[in-house]
Amino acid sequence: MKEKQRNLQLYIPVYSIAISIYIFAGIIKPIFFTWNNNVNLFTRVTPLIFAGMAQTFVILTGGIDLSIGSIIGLTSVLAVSLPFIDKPLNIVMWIFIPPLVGLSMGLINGLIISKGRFPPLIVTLATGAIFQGIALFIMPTPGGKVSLSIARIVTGTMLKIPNPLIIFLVFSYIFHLILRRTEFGRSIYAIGGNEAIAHESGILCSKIKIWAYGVSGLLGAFAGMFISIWIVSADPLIGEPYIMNSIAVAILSGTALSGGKGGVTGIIGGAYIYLLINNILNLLGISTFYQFIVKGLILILALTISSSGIIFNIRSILRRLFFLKTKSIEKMGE
Amino acid sequence: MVKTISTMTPLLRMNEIVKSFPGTLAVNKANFVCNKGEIHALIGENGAGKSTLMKLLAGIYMPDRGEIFIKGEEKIFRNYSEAKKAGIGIIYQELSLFPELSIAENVYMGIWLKKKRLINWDEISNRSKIILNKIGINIDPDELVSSLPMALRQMVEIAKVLTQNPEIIVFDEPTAPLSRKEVVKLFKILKDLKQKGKGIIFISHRLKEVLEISDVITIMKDGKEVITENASYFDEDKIISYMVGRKFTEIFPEKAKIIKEEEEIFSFQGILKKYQKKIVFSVSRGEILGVGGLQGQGQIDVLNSIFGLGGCKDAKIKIFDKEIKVKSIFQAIKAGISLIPENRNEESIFLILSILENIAAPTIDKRQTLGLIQKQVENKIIKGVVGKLSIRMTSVDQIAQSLSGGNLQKLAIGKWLISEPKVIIMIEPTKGVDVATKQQIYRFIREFTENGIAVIIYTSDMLELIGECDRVLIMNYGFLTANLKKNEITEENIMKASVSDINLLETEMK
Repeated sequence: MKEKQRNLQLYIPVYSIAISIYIFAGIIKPIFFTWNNNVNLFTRVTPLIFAGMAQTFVILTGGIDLSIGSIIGLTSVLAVSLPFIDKPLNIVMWIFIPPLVGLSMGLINGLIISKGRFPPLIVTLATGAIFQGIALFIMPTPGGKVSLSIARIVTGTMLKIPNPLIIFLVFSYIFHLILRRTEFGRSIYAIGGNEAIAHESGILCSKIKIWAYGVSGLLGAFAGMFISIWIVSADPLIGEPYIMNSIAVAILSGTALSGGKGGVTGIIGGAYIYLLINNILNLLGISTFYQFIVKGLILILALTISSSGIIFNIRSILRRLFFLKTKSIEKMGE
Repeated sequence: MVKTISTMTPLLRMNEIVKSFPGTLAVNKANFVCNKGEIHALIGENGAGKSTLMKLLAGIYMPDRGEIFIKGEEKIFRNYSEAKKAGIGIIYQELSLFPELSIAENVYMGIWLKKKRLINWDEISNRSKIILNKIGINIDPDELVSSLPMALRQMVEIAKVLTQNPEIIVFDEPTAPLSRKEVVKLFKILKDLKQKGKGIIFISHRLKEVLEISDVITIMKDGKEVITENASYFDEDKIISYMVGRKFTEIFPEKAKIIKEEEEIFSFQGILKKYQKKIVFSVSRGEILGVGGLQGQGQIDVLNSIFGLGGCKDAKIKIFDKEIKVKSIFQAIKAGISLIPENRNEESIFLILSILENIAAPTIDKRQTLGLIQKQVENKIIKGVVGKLSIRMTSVDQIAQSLSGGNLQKLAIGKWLISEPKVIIMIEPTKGVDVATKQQIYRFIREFTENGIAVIIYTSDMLELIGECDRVLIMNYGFLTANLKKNEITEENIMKASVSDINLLETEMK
């Protein structure tokens, strides 16, 4: 099996499930197919995609980032605490300060984890608490304002194409490229696959790991900034649900929790599956309590599928549909 | 001793190398020379120091003493990367591949070729194809390694090593997982590399293959080379006679006087999953059964499956003529089977708990009333066990971590004493243990059998098989190749059965 074929086997199910859920939602409520609703979905899926990609980078190294929620919270707070009058300097500050803070928070995570050789689970749990404390210190209650011109650019449309759509398409392509075509990206896969062999192959494991957490923090900052623009204010605790959301999206999009396998190619599908299920529950008027239960169940289901291969039957059907010829390489090529 | 007549400086010269590990002297003043364009076989029994010597060459260990010269230049390797830079490539038995990545990426792992700062996959794919073609295999380099059979994975590993263009290539038992046809293919590669002037070190236990491929043979024993000669000087019997013949020290108790062969207190029957071979054996009352052979021939799988850890299918276990189902460790313990694993620090001792807690652990449910552990009863029983084992300690509350290797091993044995087992399986019972403790452990083992317990020992130490066991089974490639009794238990017989030719076996057994 080739890498491409494996990836198709991973991503075709992800996207076909996403599309079927979309169609199912449209059948229940035809309003789902309207353009306005779709524009709304583009906006709501974007932070999920960013958070999912943030988590994917870390999970691919074999780690996990529980501080992502606090990074989102802190960066969104920062984004609305900056001066919001439309001046060039203010806009430059808005564009650069939150990502830099997010990046450095991620780098701190990575430094502690790789230099101290501590388990990522506990380190990011602890740093998450610290980051959240800082966010609450800066802004104890929800509020704040953002520059209207930025808001207009980010959530507006360009040539009738909604900008969030462009944003998430461009960014997921860029990060796909980073994972697929750069030394940094491939090193992440090697480390997640087997750190000892990666080290032996001359990969600077601790450096790469630190930067993987750094990129994760940066992506978390993008999610935080986007959220603050979308709701035109900030809430220091707004990131909290994204801890679970990001892990669920990463796993739904085909990344193995053990590391070294997966990527961001399926991220849009994974994020859509997660978002649409939530939406359907809302549309059906199901109480928030049950929604939590359903979210938890989805995560466990996704985990079972990704680790035990229940999906195998679906896969083999799809394989029969798409790859009729299976090459036999059992025998040595003569 | 070094005989290769050559006017050139040798490609590799290892001089008076010494390496010791706690408790053992793994390499003792060993010399080794490998020339350009030479296939040099390195052979010896388990623990003779071959692998350690090669790990010293690769920089995985640092020698305590001695020098390594590459092309006459002295080198010190602190890690594998440094050795690689000096032109050393090693192909291990346990491959260092990433199964979830493509062949091409594995071959070029760490040396990504780039175009405009992005990785150029086409170039990597093409170049790996060229390298793979060079060693005579024709596979699509974009395939994932996980979809390849074992033999092809090894070829990928070879290709990976070749990208670094090494001068000296070490093959550590490369033929073990290969079929005859694949071995022929591998040998073609070896000969090709030899013609290109590389120095090839070939470690193998399969003497037929060694004689077939190598130019020079070095035999190691007890951490030292015994002889280095041209391959034409040797035949199979000659090699075996050089490999064996170690000094025999009297540390073993007397062998069993009475073995009631008709009274089988334990019997096993099952099909080894890895090799699909049927294994049948039994233990009679009063005898110690030894299981030997080269490492990794399926012995551990068989013993594990007795303890409910899998490895064999359709396993039928009988203890005292009663058939017993063992699907889990819990069932095994309940049926009176206990296993003392090789890796005591990780698998059998709770290092941070006290001696008392360690010994009490497996039988903790036996001393409870109303769900509470009867501490006084426990104390009394455990003090009895500790006394019997003569574990050196300050009190039973001492933390296990602070004990020496020998005492830890006694603890691992003691754990099972109070559970009154019917069958005890020991894997490498005296590994890393000093001589005095060894003597004690051998005595305990003998006592077990005298009390009617069936004892099965797996050991790679030949002296142990000869000195301690009443009967020895040898496994090779999943076959039971020998069942040696009393006087038949000699180094020659054990060695012969261990290295017997697979193809012969295949035809004989069919």
